[in-house]
Amino acid sequence: MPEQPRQKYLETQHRHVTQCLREAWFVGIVWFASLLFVAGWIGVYGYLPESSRPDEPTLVLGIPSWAFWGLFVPWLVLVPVTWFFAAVVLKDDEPILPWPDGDDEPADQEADPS
Amino acid sequence: MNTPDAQTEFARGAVIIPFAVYMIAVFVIAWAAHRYLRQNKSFEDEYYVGSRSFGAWVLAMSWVATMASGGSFLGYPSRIFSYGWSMTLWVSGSCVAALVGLGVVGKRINRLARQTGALTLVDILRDRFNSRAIGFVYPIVIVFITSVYLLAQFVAGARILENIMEISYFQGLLIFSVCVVLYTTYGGFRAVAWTDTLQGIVMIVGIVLLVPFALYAASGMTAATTALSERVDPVAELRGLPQEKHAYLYGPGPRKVPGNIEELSKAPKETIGAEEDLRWLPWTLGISFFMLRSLAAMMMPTTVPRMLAFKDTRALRRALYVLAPYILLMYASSLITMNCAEKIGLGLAPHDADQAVPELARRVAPAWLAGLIIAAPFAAVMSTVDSGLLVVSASIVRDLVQRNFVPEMRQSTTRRLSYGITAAVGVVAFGMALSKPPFLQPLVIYYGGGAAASLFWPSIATLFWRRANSAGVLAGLAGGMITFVLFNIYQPFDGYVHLHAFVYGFALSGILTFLVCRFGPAPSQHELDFYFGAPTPQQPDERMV
Repeated sequence: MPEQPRQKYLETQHRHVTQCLREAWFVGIVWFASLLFVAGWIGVYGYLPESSRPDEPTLVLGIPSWAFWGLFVPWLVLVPVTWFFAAVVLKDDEPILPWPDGDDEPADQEADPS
Repeated sequence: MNTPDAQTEFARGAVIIPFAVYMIAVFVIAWAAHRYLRQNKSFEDEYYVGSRSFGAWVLAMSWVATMASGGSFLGYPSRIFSYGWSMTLWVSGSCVAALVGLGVVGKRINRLARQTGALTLVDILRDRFNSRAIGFVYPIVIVFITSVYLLAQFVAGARILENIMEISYFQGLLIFSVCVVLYTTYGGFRAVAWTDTLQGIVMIVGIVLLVPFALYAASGMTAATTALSERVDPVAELRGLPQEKHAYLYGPGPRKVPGNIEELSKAPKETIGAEEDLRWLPWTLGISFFMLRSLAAMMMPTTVPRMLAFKDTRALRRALYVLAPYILLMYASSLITMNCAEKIGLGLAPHDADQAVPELARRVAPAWLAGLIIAAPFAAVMSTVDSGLLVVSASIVRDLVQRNFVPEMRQSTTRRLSYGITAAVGVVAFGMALSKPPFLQPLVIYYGGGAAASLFWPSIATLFWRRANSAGVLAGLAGGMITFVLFNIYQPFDGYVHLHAFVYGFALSGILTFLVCRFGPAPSQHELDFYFGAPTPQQPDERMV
């Protein structure tokens, strides 16, 4: 197989995978932060024992304040975060190159997958 | 004309007309899509992935219309109707659903599908490991969990028609089944995606339009929440348990409504007893739902085909711009409207909660608008059913029959088989729905939970981990599914901590996938080169993937 197309294929595919992993990490961090904040806030302010509940619950725009600050506000923040991901973090994909001819048989040897 | 009967008849007609216009539009779209199907040289490519040509708008609408099923427009609002603001944590995972659902695997799946010519997710997994076992087990799991989902959607569709046309459940089910099976079988994936686009628009317009009408009818959100704070818990009353202060305004919410509530409410009081005192949503269970609702969005068998069908990253990017506010509007609107229901006074019994949205629309909106609003959940149901039918059909025709037994199948045979299986799956789902399960949402959650528990880690490992192998993927798949099913039945740890069965399946699937891949046979160099490439020689460290 000619060396150049093979090397070009390998590099292109590698850049694609590296970029996809970068994007996945960003999403993973946002997901975890959202879980911590939402579950934490709602757990602390929304799961009050009966004896601790006020006679007149605090409302924001008619919504219980724990639900407003624990869900509606973070959700409103996550909309621009998603837009930021789409606009900045998510990169255009690498061009798809054909697998170089002459090497379509799987190699027998095992690889170092690390 | 002015008699009450005539007025009722007029209102009923006014509801049905916009609904009928919507249905006609669906069939016109299916007819147009069928022309593409006839013109395209590759039947399978067109029937199952729409020739991989979808832009941002079709991707966004078809993804969300498929993800948001009758569960989102009937089951979820019915739970808000039943449990009030304690549903907040239950739905909270949806705040990251668009980002997680498309952002992690969308681009990777799309590229691999183009590179390998894959028509289904199973094609990608099977080809990476060259494994017949994966080609058998994966589609069987997909067919199993998608069938449960289809059952739920057929029930939802029948119930909407039952309400809107004032016909029997059986008649509603029959009409719904014939309509949706016809246009899906006839038009294939393109018809499904195009009708999904129409349905996605109808869904958001319908559910958002209901907000001002509900708020007006309830005299504002503050009045609605105040009324809810004094609501009597019907299950506590039935079982003779004490009423809890502001149970509908705080977690864990009121008592859980049992599946046999209809029989319980008819039974003599002394025979009921108070032995079951389950709360609706303990905090730990709420966290399970955050995980389920966000992570399940990624690997739902019904939404994954969209990732094989969009044309480039630009389409994906623009779809995310649309989806983030769309999902917020969709779920937040239901939280607001259905928490107004108590003040408006729908008068529904607890076992009729699935009728809450159509009933509210009929109560608060003008008749002509109620037709459009009721079309929204119907659109959600149809868009999910059509996708489910195609997924099951693709799993059987492509993944099980063609890839395993008849790799050189003639195009005309593929065409006939695809039409036949799609229609047959619809008939089977119709038969299952005749049993009329009492509550819709548990079935929907079963689907989402089963998909996330069994498919998440094996798919992630296949797409991103160089060390993944077929044994690890199969172990994760089988372990996750079996654990999920068993924990759903036996709930062995519920006496200690309330977690959804999905969490156990998800965790065990992850552990099994990791361990078996890590210590199992290593993949070949050819496989790694093809799927992961290699860095330039000057950057050896970047090879750590």
